[in-house]
Amino acid sequence: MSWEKELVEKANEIIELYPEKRSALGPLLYLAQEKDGHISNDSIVEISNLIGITEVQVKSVASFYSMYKEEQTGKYLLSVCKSISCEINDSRSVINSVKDFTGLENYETDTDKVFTFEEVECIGACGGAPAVQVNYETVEGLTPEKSIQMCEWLKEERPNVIVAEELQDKFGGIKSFDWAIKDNTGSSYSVPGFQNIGTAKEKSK
Amino acid sequence: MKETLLLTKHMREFPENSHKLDVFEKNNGYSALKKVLKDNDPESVINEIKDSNIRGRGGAGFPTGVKWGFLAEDEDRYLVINGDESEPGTFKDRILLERDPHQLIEGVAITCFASNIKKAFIYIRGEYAKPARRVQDAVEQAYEKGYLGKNILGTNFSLDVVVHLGAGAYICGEETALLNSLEGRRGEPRLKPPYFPAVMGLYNKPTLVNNVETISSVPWIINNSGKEYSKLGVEGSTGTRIFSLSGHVNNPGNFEIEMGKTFEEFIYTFGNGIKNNKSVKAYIPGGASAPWFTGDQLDIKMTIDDVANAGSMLGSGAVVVMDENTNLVYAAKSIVSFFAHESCGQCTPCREGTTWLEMILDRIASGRGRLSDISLLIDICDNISPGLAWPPKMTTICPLGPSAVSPITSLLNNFSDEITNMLPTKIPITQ
Repeated sequence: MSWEKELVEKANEIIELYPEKRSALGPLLYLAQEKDGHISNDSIVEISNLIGITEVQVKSVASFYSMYKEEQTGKYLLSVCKSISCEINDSRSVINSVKDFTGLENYETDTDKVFTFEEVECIGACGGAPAVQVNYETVEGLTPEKSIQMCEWLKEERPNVIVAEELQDKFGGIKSFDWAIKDNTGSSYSVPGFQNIGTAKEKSK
Repeated sequence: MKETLLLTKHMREFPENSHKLDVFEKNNGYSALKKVLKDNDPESVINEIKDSNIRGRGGAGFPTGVKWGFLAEDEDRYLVINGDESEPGTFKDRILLERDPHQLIEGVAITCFASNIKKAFIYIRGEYAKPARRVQDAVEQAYEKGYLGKNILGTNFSLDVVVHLGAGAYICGEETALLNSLEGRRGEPRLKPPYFPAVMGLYNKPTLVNNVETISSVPWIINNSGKEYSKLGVEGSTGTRIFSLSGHVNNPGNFEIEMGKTFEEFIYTFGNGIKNNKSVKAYIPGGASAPWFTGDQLDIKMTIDDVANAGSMLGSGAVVVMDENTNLVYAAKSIVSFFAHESCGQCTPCREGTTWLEMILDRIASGRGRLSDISLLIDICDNISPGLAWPPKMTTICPLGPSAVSPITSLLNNFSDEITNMLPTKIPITQ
């Protein structure tokens, strides 16, 4: 499926931000990721035309970065940190309980396309170890039990927008620092919620 | 021992809305930019930064004023803010981006005015979705109020700022890799020379690349003078620094202090001691790339030079504490896996070496180690960083490879028992 007119317009808006078209490649790959949950071959063709580089160049960049996914992710991308501060604060048990609950190994997606599980490197939440991101929204100070409760909640409630504060209040513990500010925006798919790429979504009350 | 709040003052005073423009304005926000524009003397801004003796907060600790002085003449010049904070243990830029984005934007505007730059990029790692949203909101508010955009506050100075998201590559914290990434390429560090992006950077144009914390310090320096800033801290490490404390401490977090205190004071005062009253076996003084210190070395002073002289680095200011019960082989394995995963793959010693180091540590940790594994580890480390010296020599384009060597030499130099205890005591008959 080639891109709809609206998406092409959005892409052109992004290209306008940069002195050279190619700089928009990263953001455009995020548009592709949001559209299909992965970087599809059609999107690669579309982006190569929009930017004026070859398909292989697009693919080469997409495959370099871990946040552009080759295979379609589930609605919720669960990224559990395993770097040093989390490792020494027993992230291994959080990883194991999420794996047990979802039945997934690293980088796998369930058949209902609800969860994708991945073990990731440092997400900058070392003071709130062990930490997890759901669709790149950070939850800090998890325990094995709380992480299972979080997965259960996600599976049952199926929220459209993931707001970090909501998950933190429900399932989180110790934080890297006082978050202080209440937020109502978040991400809705396996793409960081960010205004420039149109993926920041507000949670309706 | 108390904190000295320069960069984190505003967010402490207005915890719930420090990110909002009106609150920032009421608290003296954008006054440094107004002052600079009124004085209309770019050279004096650069001199203030030079006087402050501030050194870059990203990890390398290069003097900021000197870097600014390198910027070559050209019609198109760029400022790129390095917000790709990914060094394990570090979360200081995250708090600055999330809770005080206008302080950074004011710093960006002043820096660009001083160096006659008309386009700036704030590169934020992709996993920092929330911080990036806050910064983007702040950028839009700043445009509306005329702090960014065309003819800023009615002067001839114009500046465009674009917030750009990375996509999960630690290596993009290396400034030339970051520039490649921003150009829409694979985040592979560039071959040096040219050593300085200030000469040849983004789109091969002169480019300043500065860390979030460095540029967030600029408004304070302008408001209070470089001389005042240089009075804080100690010679060679002036000013305050936001240290991220994590690991086995009771109270992890970001703490802004003047440099020059000891790690012991820092860990016990702010970290409120070690969990369950245990003792410190080892700690990392400056992020995962830095060689570890032992629990007997807590009296080292937290300055760039003191830490360097003791054989490590203050790096990104991330202190990770490991208590007496920590299995250091597992800890080293975690750090080595990190670098193996994040190696960009350009240089053979790093790409192959880090992967082999990870596999060997993995087999030792799982009880399948071989007697020859220690010499094999040393041999591979030596291929990446000849002589295993500090500061490291390297056979690679960037320091990522040698960073994977740090935890292994730390382990072998000070805690060799831990690793030999995991090896078989004799060669099994079946071999």
